[in-house]
Amino acid sequence: MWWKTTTVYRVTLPSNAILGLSEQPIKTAVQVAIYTQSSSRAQLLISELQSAFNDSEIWNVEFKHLPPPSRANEAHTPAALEKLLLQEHPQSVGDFMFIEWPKLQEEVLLTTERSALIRSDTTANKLAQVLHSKILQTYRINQILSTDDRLGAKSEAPQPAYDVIVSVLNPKPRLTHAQWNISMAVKTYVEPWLAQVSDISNYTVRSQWKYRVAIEANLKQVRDESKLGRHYALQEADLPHLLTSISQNLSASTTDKPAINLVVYIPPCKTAPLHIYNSKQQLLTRNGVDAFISPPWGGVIIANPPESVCLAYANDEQPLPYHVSTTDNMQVMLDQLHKLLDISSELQMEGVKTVDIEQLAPRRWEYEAYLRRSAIRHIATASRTLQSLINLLDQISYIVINDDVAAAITSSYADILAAKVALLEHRLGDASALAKRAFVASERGFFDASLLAQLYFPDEQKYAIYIPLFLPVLVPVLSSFNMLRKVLQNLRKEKQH
Amino acid sequence: MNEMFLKLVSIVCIFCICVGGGSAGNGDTSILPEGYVDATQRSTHTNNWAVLVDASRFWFNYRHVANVLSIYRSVKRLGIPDSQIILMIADDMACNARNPRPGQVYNNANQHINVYGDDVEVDYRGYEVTVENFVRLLTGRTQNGTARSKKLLSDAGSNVLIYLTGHGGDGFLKFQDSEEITSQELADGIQQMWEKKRYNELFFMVDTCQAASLYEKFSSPNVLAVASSLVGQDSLSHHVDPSIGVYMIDRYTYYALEFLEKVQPFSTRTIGEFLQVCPKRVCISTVGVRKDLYRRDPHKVPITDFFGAIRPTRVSTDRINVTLANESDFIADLEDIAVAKRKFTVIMEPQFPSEFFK
Repeated sequence: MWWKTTTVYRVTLPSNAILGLSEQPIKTAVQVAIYTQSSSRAQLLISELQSAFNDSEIWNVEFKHLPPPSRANEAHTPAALEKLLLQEHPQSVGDFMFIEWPKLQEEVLLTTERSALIRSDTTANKLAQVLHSKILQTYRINQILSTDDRLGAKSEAPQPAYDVIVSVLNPKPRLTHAQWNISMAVKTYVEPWLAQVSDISNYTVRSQWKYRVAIEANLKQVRDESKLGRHYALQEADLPHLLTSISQNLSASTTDKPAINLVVYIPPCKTAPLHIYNSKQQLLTRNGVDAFISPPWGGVIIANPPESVCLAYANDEQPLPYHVSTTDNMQVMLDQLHKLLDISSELQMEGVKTVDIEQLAPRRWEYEAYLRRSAIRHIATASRTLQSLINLLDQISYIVINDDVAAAITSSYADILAAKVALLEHRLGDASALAKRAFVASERGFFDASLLAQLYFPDEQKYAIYIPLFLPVLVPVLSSFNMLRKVLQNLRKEKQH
Repeated sequence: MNEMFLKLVSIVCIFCICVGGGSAGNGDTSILPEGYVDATQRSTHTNNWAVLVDASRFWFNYRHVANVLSIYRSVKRLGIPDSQIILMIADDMACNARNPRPGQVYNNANQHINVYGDDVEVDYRGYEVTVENFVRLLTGRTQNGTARSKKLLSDAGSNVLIYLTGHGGDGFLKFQDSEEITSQELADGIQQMWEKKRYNELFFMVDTCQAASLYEKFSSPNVLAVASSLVGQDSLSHHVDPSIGVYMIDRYTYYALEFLEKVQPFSTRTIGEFLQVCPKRVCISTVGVRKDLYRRDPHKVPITDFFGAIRPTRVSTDRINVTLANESDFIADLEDIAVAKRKFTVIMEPQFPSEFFK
């Protein structure tokens, strides 16, 4: 009974299959359509691109030549042409399209949808470059799949849920009468935008005002030509410390979810206007924006009060009430969110231009690259997690695997396989959902509290505690067996006689 | 002897040929490019975590609380936020009835440094400091419902500092008075962290008797360990404060704090210098160091890689040009709220039946 109660309960897992997960590479199918005015050029581009992507281990790119639509002559704008092409050849999630438009100024112009315009003289080499670095983001996928821990990506896989906390900091509410309907601003800008990108993670948005928060930063006064005659300089090198002092005051981690902090800091007139300087003493303010981010923690916007408010302060007048500009701050905040969620692709390429975002959603190709990247990352992370768990089970004997954990691991394993198939079969939406489920299940399996249920019963303790306890008891029991045997023998002998 | 000499000569010859062959093409290849060497020595961490544990309770162990608070004070001063410091303290010395200076814990009898400070966030305290909780913390397998601030949420880019203090013996550290953590359990915990990629580099610091025995079983890569005493040695306390009647702090941590107090967030002090803290002359015990699992040269690792946290920040001044509503709408809405708020009045019910006595 002792042996039975102290054995480590372990449900058998598909160990070999899980360890073999990394042998099958993660390969993604993508369809890229090309439309040019002369079909011979399209054929040439396709054959060159095909040879460029032939030996890729990650991508299975299918290039498709689009014949001119029936009413091509009626299209006088690129948008109209794109619409006509899409009517005849609908795209699915993750696809891409190059459309030739001879009057283009740049070599390549990436739109906000799943397409790019190209000039008549754009080379196949350029298109391959654009595909690798902007659309497919091969270098980042390589980083995710890298097994070298120095080169590998150091950021975390996207979690299934986040808290987004928008905080307005007003350290001196008696002297700065700033008014702002932050909850309405968040409802108008941040929430609808997050709703557009919540395929991978769920976001819960909260907003708050924080008063009387002490901000520790090293500020230096700088003379200038403004009416106030001065502004204050915040060194770029001091930003991490500013962040630490801000984050102490945010009381952000009240829930179990990781938080993304978006902070709007209103400096008091005593130290306003506040601008960020780099180590070469150059002013970093652009278009009146002073802001910085620190992924994955969040971003900070410095919202300086208007000059008139601080002039009144300087002249010892009553504090002037004023309204914080919603549009100004929210536009910056949206850009910060693009960068913090790692949706925007900031890589600059010569001759390649990107159309500015004008709607409350990320560019479609950027977002789909993010979906693809997240799916691959979830698959890779989940496989690694399951493999490390299997390795640990071999190394450490007291880890318990109960039925729930085993179910989570098995379902995660099945989802990984299904997600890989979906990626190869050109179903990005399914792949992303499956990969996310695999990731969540693998994390739950690995970090389940019940794995440590037998922590206090390692093997040594089993022998060290129970053997001294039971061995002395066993001695008389065993010797009594011997006695019984003798008695039986004697009985038998007596019978024989 | 002759054979050895021949071998040596032949190896040297082969080496020369290799180098000669290489140099014909692109210079001397026997020296690695400087950029490459720098890159392997450079840190790749993105965030810092600290797990600080005082495993012993009761007033006579005042020094262990002072030890752990000394390190807490330093890492916090150098920039690790409280949310990334897990502090386990088995007893409350600052508010102990026997403390003549309530709310204060000092590192020496002259009250130079109040290591308790103004703002201490203890994550596990009193009887919560158990082997189970510590192992759960390391492995990430906390019970459901554990607060986020009590979890070690490190990732592949985290440099983790683990500091343990208490009463130890050969191969174990005593938690409270009832249980021990063995060196094997510690090694297993760290191995589990490594397998799940929950640290980039780990600095293990321990101040107990026979402290070196605790890191002997480690086998995970990228771990640097330092212990206040070798196996078979006692770690000694520094001095007694007659006004509280007990030892103030242990020798090793006393000198470690002395060193850390001189470190500033951007200082160029290295871990190599820190490993030489508390020589035998002042420590009496020998400080043990284990470097074989660690890849970088400690003399090139800034101390802030483990004791500080310089979060990467990036100035970003772009904006997304979307306007969804007029500025006046927001102001009007705010005024509506203000109007709605003004209607709210407080009615005070009479507290005394004064009208009856008129």
